[in-house]
Amino acid sequence: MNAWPVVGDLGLEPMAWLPGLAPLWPLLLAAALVPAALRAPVLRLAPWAALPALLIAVLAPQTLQPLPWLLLGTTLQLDDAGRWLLAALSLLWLAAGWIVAERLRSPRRAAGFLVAMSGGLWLPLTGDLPSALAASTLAAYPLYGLLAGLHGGRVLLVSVVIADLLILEALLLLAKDGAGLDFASLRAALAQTHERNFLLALVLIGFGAKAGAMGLHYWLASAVAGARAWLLAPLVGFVTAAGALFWLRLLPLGDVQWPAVAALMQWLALAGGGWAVLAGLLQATPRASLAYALSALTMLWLGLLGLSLGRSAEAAAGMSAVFPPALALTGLAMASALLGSLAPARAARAVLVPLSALLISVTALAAALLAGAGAGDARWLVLGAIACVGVLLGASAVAAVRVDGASEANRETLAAAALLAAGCVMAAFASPALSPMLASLDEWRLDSVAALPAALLAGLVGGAIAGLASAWLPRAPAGDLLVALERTVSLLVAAWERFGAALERRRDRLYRSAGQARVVVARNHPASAIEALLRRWSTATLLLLLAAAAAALLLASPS
Amino acid sequence: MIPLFDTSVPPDAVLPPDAVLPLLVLASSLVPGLVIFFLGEERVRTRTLLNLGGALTKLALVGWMFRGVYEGQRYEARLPLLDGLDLVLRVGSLSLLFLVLSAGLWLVTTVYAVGYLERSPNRSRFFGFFSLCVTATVGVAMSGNLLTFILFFELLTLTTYPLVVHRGTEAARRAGLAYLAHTVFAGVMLLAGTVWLYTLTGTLTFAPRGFVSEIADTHRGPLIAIFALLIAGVGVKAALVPLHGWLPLAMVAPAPVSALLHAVAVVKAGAFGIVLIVYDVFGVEQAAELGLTGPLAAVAAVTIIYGSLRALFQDDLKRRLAFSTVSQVSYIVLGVAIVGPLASVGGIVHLVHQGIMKITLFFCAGNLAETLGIHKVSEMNGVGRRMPWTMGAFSIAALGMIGVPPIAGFVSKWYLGLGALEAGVHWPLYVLTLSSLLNAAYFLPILHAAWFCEPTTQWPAAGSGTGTENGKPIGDSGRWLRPETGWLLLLPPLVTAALSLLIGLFASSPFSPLEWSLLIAEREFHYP
Repeated sequence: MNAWPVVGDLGLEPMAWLPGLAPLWPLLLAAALVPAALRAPVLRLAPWAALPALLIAVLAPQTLQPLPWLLLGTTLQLDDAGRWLLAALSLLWLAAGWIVAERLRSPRRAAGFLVAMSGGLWLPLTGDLPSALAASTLAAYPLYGLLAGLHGGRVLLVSVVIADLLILEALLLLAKDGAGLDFASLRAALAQTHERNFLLALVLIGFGAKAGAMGLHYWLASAVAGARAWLLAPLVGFVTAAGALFWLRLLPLGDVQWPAVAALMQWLALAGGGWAVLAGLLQATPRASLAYALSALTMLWLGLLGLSLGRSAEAAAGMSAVFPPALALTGLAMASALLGSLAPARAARAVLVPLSALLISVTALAAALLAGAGAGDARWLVLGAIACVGVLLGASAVAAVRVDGASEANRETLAAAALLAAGCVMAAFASPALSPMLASLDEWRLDSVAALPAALLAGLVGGAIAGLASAWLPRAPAGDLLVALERTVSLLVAAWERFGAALERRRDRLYRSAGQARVVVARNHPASAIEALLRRWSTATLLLLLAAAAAALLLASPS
Repeated sequence: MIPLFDTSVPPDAVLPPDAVLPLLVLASSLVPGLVIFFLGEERVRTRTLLNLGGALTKLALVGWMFRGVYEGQRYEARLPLLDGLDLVLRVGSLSLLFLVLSAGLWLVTTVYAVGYLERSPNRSRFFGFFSLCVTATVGVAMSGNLLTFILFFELLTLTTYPLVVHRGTEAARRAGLAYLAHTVFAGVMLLAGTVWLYTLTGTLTFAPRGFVSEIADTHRGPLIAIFALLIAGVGVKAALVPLHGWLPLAMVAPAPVSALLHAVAVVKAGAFGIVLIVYDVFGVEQAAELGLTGPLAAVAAVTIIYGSLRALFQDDLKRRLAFSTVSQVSYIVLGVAIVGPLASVGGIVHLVHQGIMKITLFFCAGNLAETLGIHKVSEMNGVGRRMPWTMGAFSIAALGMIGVPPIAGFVSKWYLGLGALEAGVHWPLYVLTLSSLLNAAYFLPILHAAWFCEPTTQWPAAGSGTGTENGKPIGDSGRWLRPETGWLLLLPPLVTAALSLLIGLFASSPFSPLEWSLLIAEREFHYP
């Protein structure tokens, strides 16, 4: 399925390496910041560095370009999934660039901006897991730098380090029997391995940490709540491209049917959604609530992917087709909601945030419907998960309207509107592509089609009511359990340091005792005493006699 | 293509010019070193010329041999030494890898040392021993038998001791004493093991599957004891726990010496020695059959975790780096001890990768100490703003040490992990994961402090000594690469940091350290 008008379709010669320009261009601009002569023009170009990526997403043909000399032998690919995500990411970075353009005058900040952008834009173009890890590194570490040492940034970094180690372990276990490192080979290896459950856990946790999945979400709310406005869009982009996309890339949807795993993933989706609602409703700012909505959305994707693991190849193919545009659309709409919540005018917030929430809701609903979530025995799990997303979106929309806006945030407002518009355009592009699947809608039973919108609507209304009542609710810190976790860790570290100090004191005492013993020994001259003993005639005679006896015994022995 | 260890090729089949090349490689640092001893302190230009000339000549000679070895050429020089025991210098693909590393890093370290010791006393003595130290290192790399190895290995001890105590302070003397005590003890063990082995086998010549297989059935016990003696002998220099005590103490030495100890000479010679003992003395299959590789892997694993844990709690930057070396060098040992081609490739390639990354870290630590007087991690708050290039290089190397792709360390860890799984053992994977986590735990706080914390000290600004320029931090002053410290101090870490990135990014390119390690595994390790 290819919903995009591409140059290749027009009969032009495709250039396999062209997608590589998307991540390379910002990287080249970052390098060009070094010579002073180029610095001024580069700083002017930096905010728009994602423009070539957008053009590539729209115009470039599908490609699969092996790069055997790079890293462990990598592949650059532009497939349908990558195209949707590349388009969304480039729009998000363009929005960020436009907001920050005036403040992007520091070469260091610009370098961080460009390198993070490069990593972000590389993510959807990776054709293998090692380059996905490299792209994630390139995106995440500068992002941490751009978060300027925020608490959420630090937690992001720790999460990324741990997540990458888990992913690396999964990759090694998958590759040990000679499987290739490209996603198709890894999917096949995952489908056949006897260590399936362990590997699935590594993949789900590893990418879930980057996607802000509940239980691994601690960095997200904290980072979103504290980040500068212009960073909100790239943060959403990172969550979208570095996490859930790779679940889709790696899970062997359609190749296997793992009902137990599928059920577990749906249960996790429901439990995570519930947790997100509990923590999200207690947040002090709409931004933090929306971050929890993003986490709830990730859990919904997890549930839908789980659903596909228990279904036929045809149903799984449907999910693979629906998932990337849904990810891209919700990413754009979520960034729009976050930026819109900062609009100074209440009217603007009242339009932008609910409309963005609506776009997210409709997209999530469509994805769930097309993935077949309305039918089946366990459908209520997904119904619950989608209701949780609705609750958080409803509550965030109401909260965004009720709170006071920022004093000066015109660019953020316009960027939010632009992203919302882009989302709508993208939805229009996506509709024809998904129409073959919609054609089968008339075969569905009414209750299975109606259940999902009903659950979502109930969630939205419930969330809106909760949002209105939020003044009476207690407040929880962004990152909820992280706070308790950090306190525990700091207590453990303090205990360890006390233990170390006690050990050192004991060691010092031991050294002192050893020193005193040495002094006592030296004072008593035991060696001199032994020598004096040996010098005596009686001792010498005794030793000689002993030696003679030993010699006699040896000589007398039969051997 | 002539196999490196083809015994059917008589010694006289080696072309004379090829026999001269290993000797010239030795001479390229030996001769300048000896001449430098006799130069007056004021002869700066001559000394620098000799140092750089020697380093460049060595690099050119090694480059020449690189091509030959790739095409299957054998380089061997043989000098009569004892009855039946020659001094043999032999260059194959494995020794060439170590040679390239030594020669390349010697050049950058020489440049760095020239800048670092610009106004220091006793420079002739320093550079004389510096050159002799590299001579000993390349001798170790080219050793064709255990006797030659011991000679150069012990020469290394004698030539590095004056470098460790170069400052002449009480702390330096104490560190020197500890170094000497450890290495002399190790030398005795190594000699005892070698003599014992010779009495049993009648040969000490390195061979592709080792040379002990004929007596393995009849002398199992003695062979195990000999292996322990030899590993203890080289393990001191490789800083295997519990023989590592000298290394953190030796941090009082000047930064170029630390760089040399950790990345080029001593520690690497120890690790290289372990590779030789396992592969060319015992043969890896024989060593595994004797049950020797398991304990060796266990020691390596303990060293990896212990070194990382100790590094975590060091405030002194160089001590933290030293414990990091203790941990990281054992990756090489682990790779060898896992017994499998991919793990060996991981270990061998880490010899190069760790060397380049660690030398970068020590150069940067030296820059911080020399320029701003920073010795402790707790003093590094905000230093990234004052010395962005130095800290940029430091950051790349530190991330590489953690194993972050696409920097070189990732490639090593990938092959080590994959090699462990290929050999059917999972636990090294968990050791590597835990170690990476600990590496992150002791490196990332440094990066965070340097880049994101507010400086607690007003440092003198680059060049001007005012601290700020037009109210802006120096890094944002808008000028073209304004040197934050002397060029001779700044260029080496920038070059090695770039190299760390490039050899990781282009790991699968022809002639990369990874590709060369794969060639070594194919040609020399002879796995079934």
